[in-house]
Amino acid sequence: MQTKTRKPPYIPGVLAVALLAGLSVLSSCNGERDPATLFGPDERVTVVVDAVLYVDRILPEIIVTRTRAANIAFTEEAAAVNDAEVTIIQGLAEYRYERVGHLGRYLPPPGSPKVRPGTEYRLHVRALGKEIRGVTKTPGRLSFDEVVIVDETSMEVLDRLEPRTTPRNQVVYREGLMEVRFDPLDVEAYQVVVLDREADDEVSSPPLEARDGRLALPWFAIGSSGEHEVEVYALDRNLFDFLRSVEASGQNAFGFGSLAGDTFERPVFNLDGGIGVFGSASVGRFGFVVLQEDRSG
Amino acid sequence: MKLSAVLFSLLLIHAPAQAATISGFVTDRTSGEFLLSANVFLSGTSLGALSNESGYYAITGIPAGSYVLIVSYLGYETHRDSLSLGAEAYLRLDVTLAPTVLIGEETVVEADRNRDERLAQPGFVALQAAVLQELPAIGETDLLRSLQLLPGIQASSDISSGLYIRGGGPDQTQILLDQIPLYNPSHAFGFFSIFNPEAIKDMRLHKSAYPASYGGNLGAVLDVTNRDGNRNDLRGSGGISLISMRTMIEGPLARGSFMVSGRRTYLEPILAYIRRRVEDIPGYYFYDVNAKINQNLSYSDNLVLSGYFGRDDLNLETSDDNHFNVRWGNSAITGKWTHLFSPTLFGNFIVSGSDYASRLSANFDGTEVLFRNSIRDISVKGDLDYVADDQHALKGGFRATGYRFRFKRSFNQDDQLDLRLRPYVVSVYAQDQWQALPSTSIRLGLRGNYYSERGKIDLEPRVSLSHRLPGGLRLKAGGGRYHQYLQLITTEGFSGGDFWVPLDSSVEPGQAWHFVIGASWDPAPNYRLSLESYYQRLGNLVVVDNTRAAGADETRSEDVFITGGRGYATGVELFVERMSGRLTGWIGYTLGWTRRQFPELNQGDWFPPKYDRRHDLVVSANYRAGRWTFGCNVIFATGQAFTPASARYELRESARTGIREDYFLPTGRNTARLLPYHRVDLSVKQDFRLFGRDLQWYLQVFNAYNHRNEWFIQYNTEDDGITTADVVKMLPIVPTLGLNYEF
Repeated sequence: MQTKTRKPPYIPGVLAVALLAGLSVLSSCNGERDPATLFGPDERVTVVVDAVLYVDRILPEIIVTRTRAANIAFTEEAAAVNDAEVTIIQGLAEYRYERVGHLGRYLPPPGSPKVRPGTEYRLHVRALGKEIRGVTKTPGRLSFDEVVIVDETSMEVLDRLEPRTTPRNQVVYREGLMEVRFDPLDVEAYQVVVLDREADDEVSSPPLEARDGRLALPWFAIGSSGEHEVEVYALDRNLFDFLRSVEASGQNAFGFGSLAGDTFERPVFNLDGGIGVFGSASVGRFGFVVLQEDRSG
Repeated sequence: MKLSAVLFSLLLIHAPAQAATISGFVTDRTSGEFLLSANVFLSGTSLGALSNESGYYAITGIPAGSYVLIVSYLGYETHRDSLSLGAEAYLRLDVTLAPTVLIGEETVVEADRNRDERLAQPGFVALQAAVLQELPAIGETDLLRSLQLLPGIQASSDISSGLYIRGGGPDQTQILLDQIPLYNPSHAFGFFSIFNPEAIKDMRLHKSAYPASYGGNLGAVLDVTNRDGNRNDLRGSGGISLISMRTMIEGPLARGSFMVSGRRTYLEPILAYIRRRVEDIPGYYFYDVNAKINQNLSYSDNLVLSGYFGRDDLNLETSDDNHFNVRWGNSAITGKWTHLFSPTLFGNFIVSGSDYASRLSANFDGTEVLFRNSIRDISVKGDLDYVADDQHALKGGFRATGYRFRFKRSFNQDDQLDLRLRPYVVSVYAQDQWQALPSTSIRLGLRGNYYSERGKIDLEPRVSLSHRLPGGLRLKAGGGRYHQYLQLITTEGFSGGDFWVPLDSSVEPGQAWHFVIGASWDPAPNYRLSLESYYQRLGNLVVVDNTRAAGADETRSEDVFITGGRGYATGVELFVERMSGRLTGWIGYTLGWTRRQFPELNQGDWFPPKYDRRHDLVVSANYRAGRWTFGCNVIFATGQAFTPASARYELRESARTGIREDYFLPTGRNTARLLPYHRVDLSVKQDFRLFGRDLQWYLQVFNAYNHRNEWFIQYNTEDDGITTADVVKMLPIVPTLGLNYEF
């Protein structure tokens, strides 16, 4: 049954020619692409609302802008929406906002009340022929029980700070962990913002969950010695959804997922008719002075 | 328990008829290695068998008479024996096959259309180590990268050895080494696989519709078998490439053989040299060791002990206070006993343990971030092969695996996530390879899995059918149901430091249905043409939820994953192969569609995953001329999907008023495509002798015409407010030199 076949003698030559032809065709496909093809269809007329209510503060400034095509120059003036109707509604009370300047900024009417904890507020914006609506329920009040320095391994309390802004709170850089303790609120998460008063800089954390009403503050948020302030924000659902999803929405093709592909995903806005955030938060803060770590020992 | 009863009933009802039986082992004449899936048949009849994982075959139900027994195996001389068998005769016939040069003269091994049944299974591919070693590669021969050249299998990038098979990601493919699951099969962040080419004997890949003897994943199964070791002579082989050095030694040992192979990078001194001149260069190494001892305890008993140990370690220290470290590795040890209960009943029993550990730690100015994953498993497995008669070859078995998982994530000394689970999976299966007609073979199987976290049995029916037509044409079809209980968390860019998480009762396990239909045709003795169409329907898919609040109390799977996903993958694959002769190789083409849908992603709309490719064409060829071998791969594929930015907007950066940030608004997920991918790899090898040793030097040129394929898009905002979209490219031309040796 064993047979022997002879291949036609021209086959290697034909293969060589085919290979060279294929190589030249493929290498000629080396052109640069048109950069415009890297952007999706323009979404220019989407209204963007930025409104966050803070418990125990008066109604905040609200900014109304619009999206711009991704591949053209972005300026505040071009993005501003200056002819919007902005209203905050709480119960039967309506607060009609007034435009200030030409950058899409709107302020509440004079004499507006402070934002109440645990209360529902509604937003209504009419702009660019669209109606944008949102609802938030404000968190309860946030007050710190204590701020402590704990040992990194044993978690034993090394020192206690004044739970308010004071220059008497002095901490040595990277000596123990700074931890803030409070009665936990019925919120999804908290955000910690560390303000460097001397460098006029701020670093904010991703949304954090505080188990048992405790939050450890990362040292890498503190870049230099001197006066600092920490603000802890208890986030309502809307603000939490926006911050967590915009954080995860990477803008390149790497994704920390498995089946679904990359993570460049539209954030969760919780607004009808537009994008942005209409949320609320309650705030607690304390201050301290960071001393340089002692490297002599 | 019901399944066990069914299995043993099946074994009992097929008592051997009054007819002759032939059985034995098929081995390599020079090394004594058992040959898997060798085709053994009686010429002019439909009677035949494939040798099993231990090289054993049995043909029963043979009427009295004279026959010619033919044993064939690709790359070996065909063995023929004239036999005369009486009624109820039993003949033990061990066969040794002499290797031929796979790519030497055009000797046609066997014209009989029965000769190679392996491709009769839908979605099945078998490759031998010799074939792998001839393919052009980057750096050095790599099993997973070679598989990426087959139709239906894609790579996510030039630097990844991850397998995307028929629309499934690497997490859906189970990779077995000597029947032990490996949790992370990559070195160097996916650049290389952990399989040392010197140690591999055989590779079998089920792209879909895999049989009942496998289970536990939604997509494909890659089953790699290492060499047992040369039973006749002490010999060795190895290679030196620009990246690593590898060596394998094998030889006879007592009543069997041994094999030890090792591989290690020598990048460290190079990186250390660079680090003295350039800051922030990390230190990195990997190594792997395979070892096997194979002993014949008696004529009917064989014992194999094998182990695998591998590690990757990358360390970057930019100052005393800042460092970054990733390390991962698999360890596995196996004991396998094979026993011949009777000429027609063969069993193998395995006890194995494996340990996978992955750790990523970083310290930024005293703030530590830590990800840690460990999986330890202990398995007991048994398989029985029973040739009942000339129509039924039964197979049944069980596997029980206990796992110890831990997945810990901590930030700033705070354990944000500490998942610990000790689930177990018990599986039993039964399968009947039924020769329904002389030209029609049907494989019926049923597998049952009990996953402790789920608390119920998942039944998985499997079926495949093969029908031979005149003229070398064979029709085939198959299908089955599949479940997956462990979930991989990885990135698509790199595959180092992967994390595995078992699903608990809060999340339904992934499930899939596979359907395959196709035909293969041997138009000439040396050629095979295969056309297959597949459809896979997937349910209960999960994806990591990146939007969870850090520090959330994540103790259940539902806290870690976005659930409720579904998807499908469908396509057609064409494969034309020339199997031997001076010129060998194949042309593979895939036309495919893959889609996913999650209620919480892409606003609930269907989307193509990044690796969805409409067209994928690969031409892979080797030409041997004397001591010279020339290789070439030509690849052309549709560009991967990506999500483009459609608009820009400004919004607050944090809960605090003040800083405003630029954001891009994406379009629907993966609505655009990167430019088509194309690449040519070339290689040239020359065999020579030096100081009485067989040596081979090689030059491989990856991406020979230096076409920088697109990898991903990075959007940036310039100071003048203009947004740019930068295309990050993949690898340029990469020539590598190396030397292979034998001693």
